[in-house]
Amino acid sequence: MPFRGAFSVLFQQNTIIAEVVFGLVLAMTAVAVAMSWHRKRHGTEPSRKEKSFRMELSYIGGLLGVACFLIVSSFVQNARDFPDAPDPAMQVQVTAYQWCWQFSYPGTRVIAGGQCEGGKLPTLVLPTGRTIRFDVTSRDVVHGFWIPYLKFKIYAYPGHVNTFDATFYHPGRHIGRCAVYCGLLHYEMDFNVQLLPPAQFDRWLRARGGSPAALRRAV
Amino acid sequence: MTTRISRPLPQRQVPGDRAGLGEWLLSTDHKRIGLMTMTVSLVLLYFNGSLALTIRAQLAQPGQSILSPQMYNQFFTEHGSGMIFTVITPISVALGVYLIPLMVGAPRIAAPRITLLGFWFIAFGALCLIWGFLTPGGADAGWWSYLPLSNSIYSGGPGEDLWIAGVFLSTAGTLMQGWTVLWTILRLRAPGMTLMHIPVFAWTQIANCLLVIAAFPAQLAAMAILALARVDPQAFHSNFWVFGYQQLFWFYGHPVVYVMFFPFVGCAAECLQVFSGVRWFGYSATAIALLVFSTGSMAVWGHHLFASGQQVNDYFSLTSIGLLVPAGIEYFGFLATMVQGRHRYTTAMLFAITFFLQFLIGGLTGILVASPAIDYHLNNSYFILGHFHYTIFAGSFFGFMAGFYFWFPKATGFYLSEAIGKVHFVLMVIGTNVTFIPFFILGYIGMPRQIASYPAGAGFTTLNLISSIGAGFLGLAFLVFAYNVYISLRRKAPAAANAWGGFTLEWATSSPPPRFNFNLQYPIPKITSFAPLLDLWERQRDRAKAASLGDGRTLGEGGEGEAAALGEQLPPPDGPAAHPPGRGGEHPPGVGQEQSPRTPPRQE
Amino acid sequence: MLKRLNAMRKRVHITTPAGILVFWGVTNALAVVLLAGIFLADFTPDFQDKDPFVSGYLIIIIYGSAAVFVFLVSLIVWLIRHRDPYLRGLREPPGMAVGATVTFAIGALVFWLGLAFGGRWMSVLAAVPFVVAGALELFAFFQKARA
Repeated sequence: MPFRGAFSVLFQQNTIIAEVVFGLVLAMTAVAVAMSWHRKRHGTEPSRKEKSFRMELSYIGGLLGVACFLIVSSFVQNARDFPDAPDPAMQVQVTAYQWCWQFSYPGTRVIAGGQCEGGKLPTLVLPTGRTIRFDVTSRDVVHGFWIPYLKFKIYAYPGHVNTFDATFYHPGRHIGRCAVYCGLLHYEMDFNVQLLPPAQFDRWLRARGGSPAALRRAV
Repeated sequence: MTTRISRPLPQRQVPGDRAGLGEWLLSTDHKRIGLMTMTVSLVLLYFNGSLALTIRAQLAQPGQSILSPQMYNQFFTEHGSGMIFTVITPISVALGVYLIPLMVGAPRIAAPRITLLGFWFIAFGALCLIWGFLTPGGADAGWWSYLPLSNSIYSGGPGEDLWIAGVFLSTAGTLMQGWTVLWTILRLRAPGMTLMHIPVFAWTQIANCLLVIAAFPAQLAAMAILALARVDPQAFHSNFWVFGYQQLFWFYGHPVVYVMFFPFVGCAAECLQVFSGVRWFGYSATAIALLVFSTGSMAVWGHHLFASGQQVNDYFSLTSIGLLVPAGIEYFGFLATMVQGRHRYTTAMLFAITFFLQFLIGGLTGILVASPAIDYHLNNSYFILGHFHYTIFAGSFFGFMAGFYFWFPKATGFYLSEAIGKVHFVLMVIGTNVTFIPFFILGYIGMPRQIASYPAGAGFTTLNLISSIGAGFLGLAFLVFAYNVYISLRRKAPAAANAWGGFTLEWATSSPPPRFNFNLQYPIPKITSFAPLLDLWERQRDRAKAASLGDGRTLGEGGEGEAAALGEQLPPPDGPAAHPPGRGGEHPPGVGQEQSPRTPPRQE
Repeated sequence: MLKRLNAMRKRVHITTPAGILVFWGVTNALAVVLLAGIFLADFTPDFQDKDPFVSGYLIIIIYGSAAVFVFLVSLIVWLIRHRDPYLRGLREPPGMAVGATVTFAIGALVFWLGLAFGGRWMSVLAAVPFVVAGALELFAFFQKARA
């Protein structure tokens, strides 16, 4: 659920470590170049120490430490992404096909779909503040359901349903894209995500002939 | 007629050293087979590179149609497939085919005919892959060719069949060469060449070939499944086959990227130690680390499927992050060797150092996406493209260039131009960084991969334009590289047997080596460590010091004679480490003093 | 403690061909066991609707078979070498045997091209170069045996 949060925590952590490591290696390389220049200027022979068991062992220890830290971090954030969630407030069915999307709201007959060509993208309308269960599948080949704003994607397989829960907190409009190459018009297979405050979402649903109560009961 | 390895045949009795196309195409000389494989792959490198340049031209601006979407999809399919199956992977093993027998003191490779068969399979595989362009529709299912997209319903026509054929043949070919290289290292070493005396490069080939032989059969099975799915798509339509294929494919697909890495670390390591004038630091740790790295690489493939919703993500996250431990050990060796040395900044050395730095960017971004919570966002985005182009292109390929400039004199007997080489190097550094840094940002802000164009309002335009400008530099760099090879082969600046003051056995024989690698004129010297020629030079230097100090010590072991006979193979008498810095001129100084009697004196 | 580790390290002989293969096999086996363990423990799925076979059992099978395959072929190679020590010598294959190799490659190409272009019947044409390759190989073998 907290995909955005988990992503930023880990991304920040990893990026800092990566920058430090790269900086260190770059610095050591510069030091090496300087030491070599120094040797050439003073005509000294290069140093001939070929191994140091103690140094290697402590260095390996350091590496293992970093690895353990990163692994634990990864486990913690991954678990955070998929908690034993309470029952969701509503469900959405996402069906991918070559080359567009169909979104349906079980319990109602409301469907949003389209052809995606010429920029006429279908819009997935969702309420904020409620836990939404997504059921993602495909009609033909493997596609990928990606909402960059959510920092999350999941593949859509034919003959298989992938399920995940998400909660949005701020209204807004975002883009969604197909994230697995699926043929000729894969590049046009985008969709819109419209996040509405709950009252507005209920109004939108009713205007389409759906009942918010039915939507809640269908979970 | 059987001859023991320690008494190779005299030069003039040897068959199979003749010129002529037929002699090459039917050769059982591992050097010729290795060179043929690498030549085919280098030609394909240029072909697949031009596909990439066209792709970058298309993506420089939004909504372009230099290529129709159908053709664009074929272009990136072939670019990825071609580069992986027919360029970098075959080069990585073919380097071993060429170098390993020389490095371990063997007169030939184990099973030369299987090695030759490997070359033919790779060449025919490449033929099939490219043939696809001539068929309607071509192969446009991407380089992974996931089911059901790649079955006969969604990808009809012979193009995809040819793709499957091409992948099967080239993978089988590389598999065969991987076997014979490993077999040679394990079973055909010269006396005294224990496994702790083989060069660092040879250890990388052990790790490499273990991966090849363990993982490549899975790809053959995957291709068989694809072929069957094209005969009967309905039988292979269930999630079991769709996801099962993905598991099988990536079981090969991850090790193959380490196959595209290990030998190039070896190339860079050899260059680094020779041009620093010191032995590689932490040889045993590196050897063990490589073995552990090799095993580890088998266990991480699931990270390509983190976002599939069907993978055991925690395990693969653990193993993927865990790989930083053996990788870090390699880097320790790199830094410690560099820090101790007196450097000669030849083109090969520049490429080697830059390999380690640029590969690191790729490696660190890899550790980043080894956490599923990050990969849920970045999977299949341009971030991943940035990651693997840094590891394979800005990384491994630089290692290959280091090895190319380093061993070109050995293989041909002529130096590549250092001046042109440095221009090539600078263009490559600019090109790779300007092209691929934007990819990380593009992926982060939400640009998916394998798309024929992007909409104007998406915020991707400027970065794509910058990247395409960088690609222009890369195109230029490759033209310069081709020119360097051409002009150097015409100019024929002769290279001595030990062209750079190298440490390992291939430098003890002539440039180019004789048919069975060593002979009476160039015998295998005494093997005392993984840097036998450096040991030899040090022994000679110590004896010379002792003699000049006049302390009455005799020159034991026929040392003087040994040194004199091998005068051409030794690092230059003033010492590989004590070279004055290059004059900025074309060749390392001191080389002129070790001309073999058969090559004319070098003209400046 | 460091000294004892060092001494242990010197006694471990993984740097022989057999040692390398055993080390590699053992480390891979450990990885497979870890995989099985985590898969079984983790099987309250991250995502729901995971199919245990493709998500777990299949990959253990693939991984395990790969390692077994390597050992099997290594064993075969070792047995061949073990039986015939004179294979260590400097013997070049006769020209006819090299011809057999290339003919075999052509056969493989024709087989796959047949699958791509002409349906299964065209692949049957590949039998011709395969038979020729086999014949050349046999001739070469008998030639060597006679020599």
